[in-house]
Order: sequence, then C-alpha cells, then structure tokens
Amino acid sequence: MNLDRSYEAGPTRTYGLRRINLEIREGEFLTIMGPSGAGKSTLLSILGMLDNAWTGEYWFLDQAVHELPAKKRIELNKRYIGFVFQKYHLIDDLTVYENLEIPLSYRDIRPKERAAIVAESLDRFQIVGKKDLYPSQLSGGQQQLVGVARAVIAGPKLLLADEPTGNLHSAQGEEIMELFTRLNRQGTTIVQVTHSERNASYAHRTIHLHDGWVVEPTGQEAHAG
Amino acid sequence: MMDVFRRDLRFAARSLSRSPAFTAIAVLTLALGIGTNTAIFSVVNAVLLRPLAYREPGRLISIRSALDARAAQGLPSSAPEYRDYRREVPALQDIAAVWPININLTGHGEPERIQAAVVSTNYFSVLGVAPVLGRTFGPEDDGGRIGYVTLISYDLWQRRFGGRRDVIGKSVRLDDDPMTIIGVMPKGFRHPVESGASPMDVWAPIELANTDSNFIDFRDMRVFDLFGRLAPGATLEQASAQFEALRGRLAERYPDVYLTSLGWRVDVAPLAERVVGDVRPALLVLLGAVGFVLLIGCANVANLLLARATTRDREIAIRTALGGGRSRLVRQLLTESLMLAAIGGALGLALAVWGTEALGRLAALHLPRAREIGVDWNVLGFTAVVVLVTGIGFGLIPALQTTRPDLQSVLKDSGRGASAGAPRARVRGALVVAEVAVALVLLTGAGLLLRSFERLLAVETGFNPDNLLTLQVWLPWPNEAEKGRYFTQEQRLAFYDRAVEKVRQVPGVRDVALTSRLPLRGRNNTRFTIEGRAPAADKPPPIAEFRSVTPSYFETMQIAILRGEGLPELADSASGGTAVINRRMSERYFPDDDPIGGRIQIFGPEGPWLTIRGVVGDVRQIGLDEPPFEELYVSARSNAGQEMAMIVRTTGDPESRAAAVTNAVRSADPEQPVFAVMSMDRLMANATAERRFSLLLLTLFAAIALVLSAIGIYGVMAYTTTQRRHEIGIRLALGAGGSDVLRLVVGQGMRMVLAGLAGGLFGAWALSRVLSSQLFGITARDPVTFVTVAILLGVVALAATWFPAQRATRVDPMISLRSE
Repeated sequence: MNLDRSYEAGPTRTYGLRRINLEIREGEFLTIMGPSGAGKSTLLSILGMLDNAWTGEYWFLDQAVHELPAKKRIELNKRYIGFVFQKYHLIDDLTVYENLEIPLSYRDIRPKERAAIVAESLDRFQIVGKKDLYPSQLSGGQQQLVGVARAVIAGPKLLLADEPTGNLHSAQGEEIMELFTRLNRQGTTIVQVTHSERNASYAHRTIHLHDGWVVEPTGQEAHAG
Repeated sequence: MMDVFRRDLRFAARSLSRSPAFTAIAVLTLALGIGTNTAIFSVVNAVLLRPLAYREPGRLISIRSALDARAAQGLPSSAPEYRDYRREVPALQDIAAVWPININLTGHGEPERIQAAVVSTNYFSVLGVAPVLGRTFGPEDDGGRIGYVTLISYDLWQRRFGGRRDVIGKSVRLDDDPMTIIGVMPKGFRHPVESGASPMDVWAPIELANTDSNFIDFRDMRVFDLFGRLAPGATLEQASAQFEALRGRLAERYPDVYLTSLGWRVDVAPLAERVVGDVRPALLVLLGAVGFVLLIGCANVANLLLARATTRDREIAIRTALGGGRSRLVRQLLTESLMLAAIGGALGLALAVWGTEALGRLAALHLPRAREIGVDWNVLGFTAVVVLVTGIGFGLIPALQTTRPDLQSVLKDSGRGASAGAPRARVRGALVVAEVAVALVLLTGAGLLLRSFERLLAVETGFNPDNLLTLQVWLPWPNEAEKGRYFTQEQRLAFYDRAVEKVRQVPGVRDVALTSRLPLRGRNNTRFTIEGRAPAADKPPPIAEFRSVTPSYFETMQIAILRGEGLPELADSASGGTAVINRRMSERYFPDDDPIGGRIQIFGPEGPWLTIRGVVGDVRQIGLDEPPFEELYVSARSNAGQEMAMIVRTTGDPESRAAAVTNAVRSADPEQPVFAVMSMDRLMANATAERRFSLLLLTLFAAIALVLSAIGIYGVMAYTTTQRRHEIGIRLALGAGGSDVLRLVVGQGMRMVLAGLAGGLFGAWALSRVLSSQLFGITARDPVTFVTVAILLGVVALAATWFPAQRATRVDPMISLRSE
C-alpha cells in the first residue's frame, strides 16, 4: 500500500497518515507501534476496509482496493478480515453464543451451518461452558477470548487487533498472544497495534508510526516492506 | 415547605430553560393535547353539562307522542290532548304548548322571514323567565285565536328597533296581521328546542283552554310541542305512569283516533335531554378522541423526559450521593413536569379560546345550544384538572425511573451509564406501543366516518343537483285568513305564476319549478287508499311522502319519468285530479298490475280521488341517509300552498344568480320575503352538516394523533439509535452491511409498531360500536377501513423508523476502534 489519509478541518487539511508505503505478506505477524494519535488505529481501519477516505494505492490479495467501490470493499472485509478490539466490544444484550454468531449472520451462512461453526469455535476456544452467559458475566480475559473467537470465526485471512490486551492483566494478555501465535502458525496474517514491547515481540516485524509517518525506531523516516 | 417548593420551581425553570428545544417540543405537544381537550370540553360543557337557563330546569320535562306502527317518535300533540294532559296528569304542575312557525315580518324595514312560536299563554311562567321590558301574556291576551300581541327576542329588538325602549306598544306586521309588541325577552333567552341556525324571534299567544272556536281544535291535528313542569316533589316516573294510564282512558274515549293498530303512546323525558337530542354520542366520541390525543402527547413527553433522564443520571446520582432522598428528587422532577404542563395548558387554553369560536361557527347549523359554546369557569376548572393530571401522568414514570440510577456505575464511569438503560428502554418501548395503539383507534374512527361520508355523498339522490338554485317563499296567513291577500288557490297561483314568469326572464335561468317541500328537508306524508282495496281494520292506513309540484318539476330536477307521463299543465278538474307516484310506491302497491290509470284517495275518506298518470324515479326526500320512501306527487296547480319552494336550474354557478332570482320573485310582491336562498349543493352540504362536523373534527384529531405518534416513534428510534451507535459500529466492523443495520434498526422499531398495531386493532374492534349510530353504508367493523388505516399507520411508522435507521447506516465503524 502507498497512501495518505487526511481530514478537512475548516480551511486547512490535516494529515492523519502520510505516505504510508507498506507491504504485508500473507502469513506475516506484524506489530504497529507508536504514541497515541500517531495514526495506528486509522491505519488498522484502512487495512480493514472500514475507512475509505484515503488517497493512494492499496492492494489486497492482488485486488486493487483503491479502484473498488465502497460496497466491494465491505465484501472484502466480510470475506477475509476479522477484528479484535481493545475493549472487546462484545454486544451487551447478546450471549456469548449469539456474539459469536453475528459475523456469520452477516455472511449469509445458513442457520444450521452457523450452529456447527459456532459449536466448533466454542470447543476450540474452550468456552462451551460460557455459551449462554452475557458479556457482563465474564472476566476481561474471557471477554477478549470471545472477542478473538468472534474475530476468527468466519475464517479470516487477515486478523486486525487493536490493543488486544490493553485491558487485560499480564497472564491473560500472554494467553491471548499465545493464541495469536497459534492462529498465525495456522496461516492467519495478523496485524496488531500495541504499546507493549512484550506483545510486539510475538510478531515477525514491527513498524513505528509517529504523527502519521512510518518512522525508523531512531525516528528516521523509513519505507517498510 | 413553601421555601422548598419555591426552590423546586426555580430549579425547574432553570432546568427547562437550559434545554429550550426539549421544552419547546414538550410545551407544544401538551398545548395541542390540552387545547383540543379544552375546546371539545367547552362544547360538551355548553351542550350537555350546563343546566338550561330556566327556573329550576331539573323540573322541566318534554312530552311527545309516538306512533309505533309508523316507527315515528318525537311527534307533537294536539290541542285537545294538551287540555287532557293538563287536567289528568297531576304529577305536572303545568304544561305549556308551542307551535313553531315561520312568519313574515313586514314594516320597520325589509320584509323578513323569521322564526316564531305560537304559544299557550302560560309558556313563560312554565319556563320561569320574565321579560326585560314590558310584560308576558296574560288572560287578557286570549283572542280565541292567535292574539294580536307579541313578545320579541332581544336580538330582534336590537336588530330592527335599535334597542329603543319605546318599542313597547309599537305595532309590527306578522303575516299581514298588525301585532302590538308587549314585551322584550332577555338577552340569551332561547326557546328550549330551537335549532341553532334559526332562533325564535317572536312569540304570539294562542288560547287553548277552551274547546270552542279554536281553529286547530282537532284531536289528531298534532302541531304543538309540549313541555311541562313537574309538581313539587313529583318525579318523572310518576308523570310517565300517569300518562300511561291516561293513554288507556283516551283510547277508550276516542277509539277511532287512537287506533290500537297505530301503537300510540306518550313519551316523557327531561327537557334537557330533549334539547340535546341525539348529539350526545357524537360529542362523547369527540371527547374520547381528544382524550386519546392527549394520551399520545403525554406518551411523547414522557419519552422525551426518559431520553433526557439519561443525560441527567450523573446529576441525580450526585444529588442522591449528597443525601437527596428519592421522594425529594421525584418531587423536584414532578415540579418540572407540572411546570411544562402548566405552560402547555396556558398555551392550550389560548388555542381553545380560538378553537371554541371556530367550533361554535361550525356547529351553529346543527348543534343545539351552539350559541352557548364558550370558555367559562367549568372549562377553566377542567383545564386546570387536565394540567394537573397530565403533569403527574407523563412525569411520574420518568421521575421514578430517573431517580433509580446505579450510583456506582454512574459515578465511577462517566460513560454510557448502561445500568438504567434497559428498564428505560422497556418503558419507552411500551409507550411507543401504547401510542401507536391509541393512534390506530383514532384513525379507525376517522376512517369509518370518512368512508361513511363517502358512501353518503355517493348516494343516488334521484335528481341532478348540479346548477340548481333553491329558495323558499311563505305567503302570509293572517289570523283572519279569509281577509288575507293569498287566501284562495287562485290568489296564490297568480302570485306563483307571476314569480315563475319573472324568474324565467332572468338571464342564465333554464328551468323553474315549484314544490311544496324540497328534497332532503324531512317528512311530509299523507295517508291514502287505493281504489278497490278497502283498508284493513287492524292495520294503519298506508302513507306516502306527499309533494305538490308544478308540471315542470320533474324536468327541472331531472327526475326520470319511468312510465306514463308527468303532471298536466292544467289544474285538476272538479271530477278528479291526477297524481304521479315513484317507483318504490309502484313496486310496493302495484307489484303485479299497471299503476297507470289506477285511482287513489288522499287525505282520508273525505279527500279527493286522483288518477295515477305516471311513475317517476325515487328521490331521497327525507335525507341522504334515509332510503327513498313511497312518494306521491300532485299538481301545484290544484294544491298551491302558503309555503312553496322554488327550484331554478341555471346555466352556470347557481349562487351567482341568487340575487337576480330573489329580486325577480320580490318583484311579484315587494312585501314578500324570499328566504333560504342557496344552491342545491349547499342544501345537501347542510343536510350532512352534523356528520361533516364529527368527520372534520375526528379526522383532525386522528391526523394530530398520527403526527404525534410518528414524532414519538421517530424520537424513540433516533434516541435508541444514538445510544446504539457504538454497537452498530462494532457490527459494521464485524462485517455488517448498510442493509443489515437498516434491518436491525427498522426491525427493532417495527416490532414495537406491530405490537401497537395489534393492540390498536383490538382496541378499535372493541370500541367501534360507539360509532355505529354515526355510520352509513358500512358496518362499525368495516374490514377495509381497519386494514387501510393499519397500513397507513404502518407506513408512517416505517418512515419514522427509516430515517434514524438510515442515519445509523452512516455510523463510522471506526467508532468501535477508538477508545472512549
């Protein structure tokens, strides 16, 4: 990808991301680091096709995203991308089971098939016993486990995680990172945003953002990938 | 205590002024609700609740005859009956008789057609009302016939005599009789049962105490409206029982008058009930309708308060943490809602004052006591109660909800305050369900009336009402009729011929005809006998609607002549006359043989024999909602009465010819008032005025209900959607498309709406009966209406959920990525 992301703020134009020239290979585990406001989450949402207000080029699985209309981009999101959020963002009024079902329901998967996939996922993440509980009845770590399970339930090729352990204590955080490593070994490309050097170390590669620019750890501008 | 109240007031004022948009919407909604309620209550108050303006009105009763065999009720009584009742019903202290007539007033300005009452001399003492000027009738005014003295109304006194006090002793000419004015009635005095459109202006006495020499002294000539005053301590039931006993005695004394087969009886009822007539159900329906509008308004305001409560959780939590007890906090919040209700009430009252005037004008044609409609202390008291009840009604639930926040979560986390959300959402949902249900009930009511009205307007009248001008004349009939200018048939015919000839010359006039009574103007029937068919002794003689018309009538009205021919140009000969009957009469009485050439006798055994000359189409003579009756037409050339109506077919807009036609008739006799000049369209509109009144108001209220509930649904959905933005963001991030979000939000809204529609259909189903008396041509549970209004409300509700849902699809999914 090679792109800019800017915002109109009155008569002036503010850049959220500048000349992001980045290549992420399939099967890679990448960490994005940087101070608050550096543009990490923005980059993540562009990668996840949630933000369309950028200019430049973005190739995703040999498809020119920059040439696709918004609808097609949502299709790509649906087929290939999963999200893990810092605050888990489980839906309060839905049970664990129902939360896991949401991404499948948006992918027009038949109810029977959905039930099978959810059952398999509950099993895989060892949360069968929690399936009828509401998010408020789970610990933070358990909630994030469900969050990850939900992110990967539709079999995404790319998993985007925004501070996935930000609200967890270290033991829970490690569990999640182990889980990511396992998923990555099974073929899922992972891009995570984190402030934690420890979490970053689970990745193959780390890039740093500062004021919208990709910089070398020393502070020099660099071209990743 | 007062200090606490003052502080609550001050805080309420400050709190409301901090949210001007919320305050404005709430106040306007309440003003609309309270205003419509006050306006309709002012009508109910004037018509149904306020006591009649007579002395001890509770003791006044109305006395009317009924003939069961003719399904006829509310009939007047005859002079001999009046005497019998006075003598033989001791439960009544006294009875007054009234013969309402139209009369020509001449002298002192333009000739005028006015409403007059020929009354028994005790009329004013039975009512217990004294004149403002002069005296009422005394024994000295008995002339054996109609006396030559008169009392006039306050309005007439002002209008024609400029309110001059020397009017007493002045003479006016009423139907060419010189009458001396002996008194002026007080302002606002009204004859009990006059219709709003034509108040009584003149009262003249008639001596009914003596049997001799009275020109209308026949037992079956029932022209007098009777009302009586109960003796002290006597009850209506006693009076009723005494009338029942008297009925038996009279039937024995006069078996040929009170035929058993006629089913004659006397009905007594409180006079107030008689005055109100049959408008009570319609008014109560309207009162119920505005009650519903207010309920919907309250639901909306309660919803606004609940939404607003979310933003106040912190404030309430802090107050609670600082020791504010729940009752204290509820009181403070209720002060705010009462303040809203009071402001809304004040604005509503202003709206009602304006609305009441409009209602009075709208209702003047058909509503009894319409002139009394206005805002009085009763109405103000009603408004005050409504303000209090509404203020507490819409404020209590939100106040109770708001004062129950989860302290910890609100104070610890300034975030979304998830704790109180669920019960509030449930209450809000329930309010939306309720208001949709109530709106549907109202819409169904309006829909039923609308469809009835449509049916009514689509009714085949039997004639072509386009470009018809109608007017009426009444030739004077003085006390000593034989001295009158229009006593003989020839005199009257000569006038009518002159008038018709003059009108024919008016440019734009195509056809002119005369009739003794216009269509839709009520019954005027006669009994008849068919030659060769002796009337059965045990059955009442057959009757038919009777009209005396000029030969050009059928052509002018464009009434089809189905068989034979119309009426001849020449007058009936001494050997017998001719008649034309309608299809219904022909089918009923001549089902197997040709009626043409058949002979019938009208007006009883002494009446003339007529040969049937033709059969014409059926006409709705009695009213649009009454099916055609048997109709009988005779030639006006042989039966020209004092009162005739003229029908003029014009080439263009008939009302544009009104002045010219009126002048033409007047030129035939300058002293002749011409009145009730109007197009047939207007006459038909007047005939449906009562229905129009109900329809117009109920439709207005239903429309307000529709708009309010749409606003309510929109408000709740917009609010819920804002609350759910975050969740929607997550869903979008998890792959939801715009259509998924749309479905989610619209689905949530429409679930409430559907529940409301189901409840509303059930409610409308249950309540539909209250409208049945006002319907025409459809049943009270007309499926088309039910389905149509449900669809209409469903579509409006869909639109109201659609816009918030549309906005929800534009939620930036990145919201879910950002930390809060």
